[in-house]
Parts: sequence; C-alpha cells; structure tokens
Amino acid sequence: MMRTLALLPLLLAVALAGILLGSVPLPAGDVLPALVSRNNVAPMTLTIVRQIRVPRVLAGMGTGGALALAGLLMQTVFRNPLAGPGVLGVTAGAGLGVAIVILTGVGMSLSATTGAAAILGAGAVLMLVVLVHRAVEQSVVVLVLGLLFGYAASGITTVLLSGSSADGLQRFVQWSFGSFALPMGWGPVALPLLTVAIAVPLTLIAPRIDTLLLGTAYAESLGVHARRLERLLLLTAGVLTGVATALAGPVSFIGVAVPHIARGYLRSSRHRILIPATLCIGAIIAVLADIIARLPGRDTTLPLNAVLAVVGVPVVLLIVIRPGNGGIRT
Amino acid sequence: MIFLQGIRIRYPRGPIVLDVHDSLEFPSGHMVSLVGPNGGGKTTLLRCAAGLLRPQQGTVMLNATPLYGAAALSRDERARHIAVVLTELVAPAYLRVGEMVSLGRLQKQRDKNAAAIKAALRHTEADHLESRWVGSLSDGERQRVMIARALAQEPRILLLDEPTAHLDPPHQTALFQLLSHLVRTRVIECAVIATHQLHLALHFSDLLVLVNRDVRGGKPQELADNGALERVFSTDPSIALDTTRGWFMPVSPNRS
Repeated sequence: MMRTLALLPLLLAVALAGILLGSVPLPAGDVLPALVSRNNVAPMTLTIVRQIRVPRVLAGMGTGGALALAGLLMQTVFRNPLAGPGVLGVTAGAGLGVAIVILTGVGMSLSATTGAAAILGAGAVLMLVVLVHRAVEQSVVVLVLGLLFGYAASGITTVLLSGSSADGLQRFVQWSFGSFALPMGWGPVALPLLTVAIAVPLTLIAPRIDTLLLGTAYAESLGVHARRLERLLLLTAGVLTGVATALAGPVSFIGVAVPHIARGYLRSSRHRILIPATLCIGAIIAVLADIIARLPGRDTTLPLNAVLAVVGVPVVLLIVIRPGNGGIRT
Repeated sequence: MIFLQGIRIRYPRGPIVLDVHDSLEFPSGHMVSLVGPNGGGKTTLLRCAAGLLRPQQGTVMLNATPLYGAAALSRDERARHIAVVLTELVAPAYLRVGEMVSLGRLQKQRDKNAAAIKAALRHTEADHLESRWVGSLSDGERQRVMIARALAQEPRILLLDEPTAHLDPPHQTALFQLLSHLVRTRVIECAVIATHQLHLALHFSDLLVLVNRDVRGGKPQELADNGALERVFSTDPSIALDTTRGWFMPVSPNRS
C-alpha cells in the first residue's frame, strides 16, 4: 500500500512538469498563476496553459492509465505475459473506423468524428470477441481469434488506405503515431474519470480477480463464476482500450509493459494493490514520454510511439530483469 | 457425502468419457481412491463430483442438495464444502506461498484467516515455505502448497487429482497418511484421491473405486483379491498385478 501511495507525488510532479514544459518556453512564474486565476496573466499564456497543456497532460494520464489497466486485465484473463490491449483486435478495429472516416471525408480533420469512428470500430470488434468467449471453452482460443480479427481489420484498413488520397494517407499515418494533442473536446477530462470509475469497483472485487491467476477451474472451485468474470474483464479492457485509442490513437508499449513494471515494483501479483499502481505508473510513463516527445523549447516534435518504445524498453529491462524474482509472468 | 447417479459425460463432439450405470457414493468418514487406466475417466469423475463439470445425464448430490441443475447449491456454498487439488500447473509471477494459501479463504471468515493458513501449512509440512515465491518452488513443494491452499478452504470434502504426481516416495506416503489422519480426526469428512499409486491406495483407502468408463466400488482388498483391480488396467497375460505390493510385473514363464 505504501509503495502505491508513494507513486502519487511522482504522478503530481510529472503532471506539473508536463504543464511547465512545452515548445513555447514559458516561465514557471507565469504558468502556475494561469492554473489558478485569470487575473494578471497574459492572454497567450492563459490559452497555452488552459487550452493546450492541461488537456494534453490529462489526456496523457487518462490514456496511460486506461491502457495500462486494460493490459493488466488482459494478462490476468489470458494468464499470458504477452497479452496487452491490442491482442483482442480492438485497437485495429478503432483504426479501421478512423480509416473509413478519413477515406469518406466525413471528418475533414482529426476531430470528434474520428473519435466516434474509432469507438464504433473498437466496439464492433469487442462485440465479436465477447461472443466468441461465450461460445468457446478455452480463453486462449479467444486470444487467437482476437489477433485474427485484428489482422482482418488491419487488412481492410490497408485496402481502404491504398485507395486513399496522399492527404488522407498522411492523416492516417499521423493518427497512427499516437498523440495526446488531438483535439477531442471533453475527452481529456472524461477518460481519466472513466478509468478511475472503472478501477475502483475492480479493486473491490480484487480477491476474486486474483483467483483467475490459478486458472478457471480453481477459480470456479473457490466459488467464483470464472467465465462470467473473464467476460466482464474482457469487456472492461476493451472499452478502456477503445476509448483511449479514440482519444490518442493507437498508443503502443504502455499496455503490455506497465503491468510488468507494476508487478516488479510492488513485487506482488495481487490485484488490490496492482490495479491502483498500474494506473499510476501508466499515467506517469505516458506523460513523461509525451514531455520527451514535445522536445521542450523546440519547434519539432517526435512521434509518441517512437519515444515510448525507444525510451521505455531499457526502463522495463532494468525493472523486470532482476535476480531472484519469478521472472516475467502474470 | 457425495452421491452420484446415472452419470454420463461426453466432451463436445467427442466420445463418451464416463458412463456410470449405477450409483456411486463417497461416504462420510471414508478415504476413497479412484484408480484406473489412463483415459479411463478418473479426472472427469473427480471434476464432476466437485461440481466443476456438469454431466449430460445423471445427478450429483452433496448430502441432500444437487450440485447441478435448477435447485443446485450456490457456488459460494459449494466452495465452503468442497475443495480440490487439480493437475493444472499454477505459477503466478509474484505470489508468495502464504498468499497462495490465503486464496483458499475467499469464502471464509476473515478473522480466522491467519489461523487457518497456519494450520494448513503445518499439516502439509510447508510452514518453512511461507514467505517463498510460488514460482521458485520445486514441483513437489508446489504440490504441497496447493494442498495447503485446499485445506485452508476448510472443506468438508477434499478431492485430489493425482496429488502424489511430483512428490518423492516418503512424501507420497506422508500425503496419504495426512489425508487418512484428517478423515479419522474428522477435520474433513471425506477425501477422494485419483491416483496411480496402487500400493498406497490399497493400504490407506476405505473404499476403492475402479474407473474405466464405468465405475465399480468396493473394499480394496476384495477388489485386489478377486482380480477386478488387475482387469481394470490390463488384460495382457504377460504382466500381472502383485496384490501385496501393488505393482504390475512380468509373469515369469515357469509361474504361468
């Protein structure tokens, strides 16, 4: 518990750094007043802080937390350390939705329309996955079929894009880099709230989720309706992934890596402490990566996914590969 | 007491695994061993009796309540009565032995957790492992921890699927001794063990159940003496069951 609480000041510090640092250098003495009051603050500073940086930090925290939690749930349900938010094909489904919007030109910019399309695409794939889970005995079949749905959705996306204009292609590729700066209205506020609203009840049923680590037969023998719980967790993870992808594009790395970092940091597989810690670490890593991607003080930015992978992998190696633990498992 | 009647189980689009014509009872105060050839249906019977595998036909009763169907016992209630040790390999990344055993307490009173966990670990001689990672245990140590987890559930009935599989010979005997002791002292009502250790099954069981699609129960020594135990495994005339030792050996030409 103490180790989880210790993450909160770190999260706060990273969020603050995310608000202080950006391509336009603003002195901290101007930024901090802009957070609390409109008086005596230059209009441009106010706009940058309130319209750009705060939403961006919130979007980062929400996306990071949501994807990390989704990844944790997937790894638990499938008892597979390689599972992540992407394995059900939900991300690819969102991509297909966005490709359709861009090709048909309904949404001329990456806007709320793209977000809605991403949610629809993700939702369609998720429905398929949940139906499959109802029909088959073994969860691993769902894992394989989810991957296949993902391939199918990506395949159709490629076909659509090959017929798209250079401009459309450019916009899709831009989306696929991942970004916390896409204009999404209330999304940056809604996603962190949604994620916490999902995480709290999950923490309350954490002992039941723990039994899934033993497999469905043992979970059943302990009185847990294992199949129904698995389905609930799949659905939850799918919704989190779909909404996060709608907001920030297909953000990679966090969903698979953060649960391992959280387990390694806490040295525990118990969900009561793992869920809050995963949420915090996901948020911290997402905002940190975004700060690096912004290259503070410069005009250019880096693709978020590139930063996550290049900076993130060594961090994971340092934390996960330590002597004397159980290795990389769920 | 678990009572099974007219059980028939087949896997989807597969052959019939179990087809029990009569009834079968695992009575209170008994140590029951299920023996039979590979693929004979021991695991299927065990899971069915544990309430984990619904039969296509037949009824399974725990005392007077059915385990399946509309009037079935609730999951929670079932978990308070029946615990299992399965053959599934379980190895979460960061779970200490104490935590693993505490998973058995899901449906029980929290205030008694510490005592129940301690007792379970003591019974299985796993106290010294309490703070170890489950992932770092040997197969045999992990097996004892899984049995401790089942005991922490404080079940009335304990069903174990090949629990001696990874244990060294002294620990195999110790496990049967432990289960026998738990039944005698009424810590549990009844233990049901699917096993290939015929010598231990013959020595310790009150009831021996031969399982090969159909089932046949009886006193261990009777089933050994009348040849039923040998026949459930093999009709090969070149090997024979040594009923005093509980193993199959080649028949020497001068004996036959």
